[in-house]
Amino acid sequence: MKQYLILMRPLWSEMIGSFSRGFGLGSRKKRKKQTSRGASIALYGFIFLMLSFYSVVYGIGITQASLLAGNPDGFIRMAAIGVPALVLLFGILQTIPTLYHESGLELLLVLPVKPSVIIAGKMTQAFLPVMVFPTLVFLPALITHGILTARTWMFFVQLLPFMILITLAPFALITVLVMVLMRYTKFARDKDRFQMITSVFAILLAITFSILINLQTSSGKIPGFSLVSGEPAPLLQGALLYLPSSGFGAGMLVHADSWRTLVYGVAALAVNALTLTLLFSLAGKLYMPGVLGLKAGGKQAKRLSPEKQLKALSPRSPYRSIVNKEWKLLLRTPAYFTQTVLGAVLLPAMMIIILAVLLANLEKSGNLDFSLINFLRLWASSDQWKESSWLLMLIVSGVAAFFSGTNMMSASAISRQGALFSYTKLMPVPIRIQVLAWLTPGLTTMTLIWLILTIGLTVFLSASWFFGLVVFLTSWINAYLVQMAGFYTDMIFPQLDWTNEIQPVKNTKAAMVSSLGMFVYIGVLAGFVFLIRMLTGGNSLLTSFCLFLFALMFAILATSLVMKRAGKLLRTLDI
Amino acid sequence: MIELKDVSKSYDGIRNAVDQLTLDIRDGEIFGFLGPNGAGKTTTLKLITGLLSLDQGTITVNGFDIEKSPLEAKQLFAFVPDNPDTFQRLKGIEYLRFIGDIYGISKEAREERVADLTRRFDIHDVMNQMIRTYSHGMKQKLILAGALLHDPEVWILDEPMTGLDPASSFQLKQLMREHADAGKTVLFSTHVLEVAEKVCDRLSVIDNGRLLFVGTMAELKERYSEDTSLESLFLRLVGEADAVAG
Repeated sequence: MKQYLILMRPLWSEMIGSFSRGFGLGSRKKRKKQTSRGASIALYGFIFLMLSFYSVVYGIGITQASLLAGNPDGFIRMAAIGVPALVLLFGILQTIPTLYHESGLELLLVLPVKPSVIIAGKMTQAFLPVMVFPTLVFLPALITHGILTARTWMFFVQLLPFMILITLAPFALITVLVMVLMRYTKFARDKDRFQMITSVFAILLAITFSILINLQTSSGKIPGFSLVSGEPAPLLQGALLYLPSSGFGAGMLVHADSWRTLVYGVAALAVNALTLTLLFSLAGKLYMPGVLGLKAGGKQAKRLSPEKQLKALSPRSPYRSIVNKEWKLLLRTPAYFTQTVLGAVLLPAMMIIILAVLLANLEKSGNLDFSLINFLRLWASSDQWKESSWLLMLIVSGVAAFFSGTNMMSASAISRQGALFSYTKLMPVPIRIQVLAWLTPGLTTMTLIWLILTIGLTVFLSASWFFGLVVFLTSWINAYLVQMAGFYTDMIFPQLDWTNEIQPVKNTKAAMVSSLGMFVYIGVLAGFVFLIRMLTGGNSLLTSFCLFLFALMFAILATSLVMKRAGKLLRTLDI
Repeated sequence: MIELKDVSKSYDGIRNAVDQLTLDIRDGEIFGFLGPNGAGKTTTLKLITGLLSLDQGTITVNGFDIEKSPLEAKQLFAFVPDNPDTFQRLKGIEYLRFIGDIYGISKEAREERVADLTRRFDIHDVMNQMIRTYSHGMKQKLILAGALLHDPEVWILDEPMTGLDPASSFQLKQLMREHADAGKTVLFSTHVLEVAEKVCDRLSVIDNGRLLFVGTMAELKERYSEDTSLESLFLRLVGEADAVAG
């Protein structure tokens, strides 16, 4: 125990450091000024409040819907399934780099410490960050749910143990799976390939799961209705059956007002104890040999023939060369690929699939007295859409900001460079060219996505090309603005001293601004639109124009800030 | 030619890592930069290359001020850092192409120089492999090849011998000599005093950010009226400076 506590000191500070450095709060080497404690607390408070706010909002929404449907416990079951789904996603993404790819791992392995202590320390280091996000997402919502459904005090007391119990067991199982693969499969030893495949698999699994949850119907009702309806939904029930920790955990909360809560609680505890025992008994045999058997990866490549070598050396402009390098690193680095390229492409695709299936199911179910698709087609193909163009532009702006905010390519462009930012400083290439090159992957992706979406939407709705042009321009300017805002934040608060590749794309201030700031922007945009409508007496054309101008103005401002900051970045950022 | 005038740099605003350093490194010479750990060698090299900003003083590379005309200065030199970690997921050939593009090297020149340098450093077989699969020494050789690709007027190396096998170390010393003999400047820092003694035309010793000595090996021996090794002289020089500071 003593050794564990000693070991946890550096691991703990490494873990906290990866968060706080990311948010620009910790002390950085060679940094003259340190951020004040007050600023740190304020920033953490803001993040906490922001996530709690969204959590409370959907907690209220789902609880009200559940109450209307006569199923007050629906949200508890949903949380009991949602948390393991998040653990599956974040668990794999966090576990592999923390357990196998941390740069300080070799230093740890040579210490005269029992392997079991190292394993326990690394497991703790991997688990705590995995626990944080689901807790922030679900705990405030569950508290809200408890207040709205007038639960007993025992319900609130058991909330934190509930979160731990439904997180720990799935995390332990995922870790066991990772360790088995790492130890016995040949492909897992190539760390890039393994991380890439498992991350993509985890993301696809989590997405499939959420789509299935959204689409499962109950007695021909509206898709997703079964989550809150009183009728048993086959998938949800099934999932709870196969996740005993979640099943017992949900039972613990549902029966918080009776003695049965104790039975469910003990059962959940027993399942967790069992999985932890399994984890630690296997970890002794699997973890160390797995770590020691790692290799950098990459097959022995064929030697280049003189002709191919000549071709591989053909000259390009510095801009093209930097862009090419950026793309290669984005596509070949698993953490970058999953957090940027894959997410950027998958999210719109997933939302389109969900929307398409929902619409198709709605049409089939006959819950509506008219065809929604036909109505939308009529609205878009005639001139009617011009009368409500402000609404179209507001929706497109919001969706574009949301998609762009989840695309971390630009928001991590500086931090991704890490210690190799020295190359940037050494290059005899004007900074404006370098900035353009760093922004190119993010902007190209967003442009392509919106080009495809616009063409698809225009064709599907049989709308005019003017309609398409409005959609494309609106989406692009908002996507551009969010990319620039993320990039600008990364320029001000770059994190170059990271120890694993997930940090520059996830744990930075820019990532936070990009992924959460868009919600603030969307809120401001909606407020602005309603203000203009009020001032113009509901003039659609004028409101649309002002909305576009609003985004354009901020886009120009962001561009000038980026260009102004760029020169300073090279001058003042010491490496 | 590199000129440092009254250069100072502090990380914490209290203690100077480099303290009022004035130094001229001439064309056609190999200049060794010696000093104990934490003396300020790497900081000085980073100041010369613009990786760190100056608190005070000026640095020029072939007449171009590194702060006022950074692009012109950077076009003239190549820097080999003490840590050979580079773009891990680029292949060796991709890295060299990238460097060639950045420095605007012509097709013919890059083909010829890549063939020559990869052969001399014995890395031509691994050009199609990702850099992350290279050993420390192989990475160091790739960085050295990349640095020499544009035939820089000024070549700056930070602890370049670390991790190199004897054959590559020999090649590097030969390349440094060839470079200086062609009228170009070579500046390198090292802990290996035997290398400095054999290779350098002139050398300097730095400790606590201050210059303790600059001159030829013969001048150093003359100063102490001893015909002994550089190691003994170095230890005496640094010992004296510490005694004065203490």
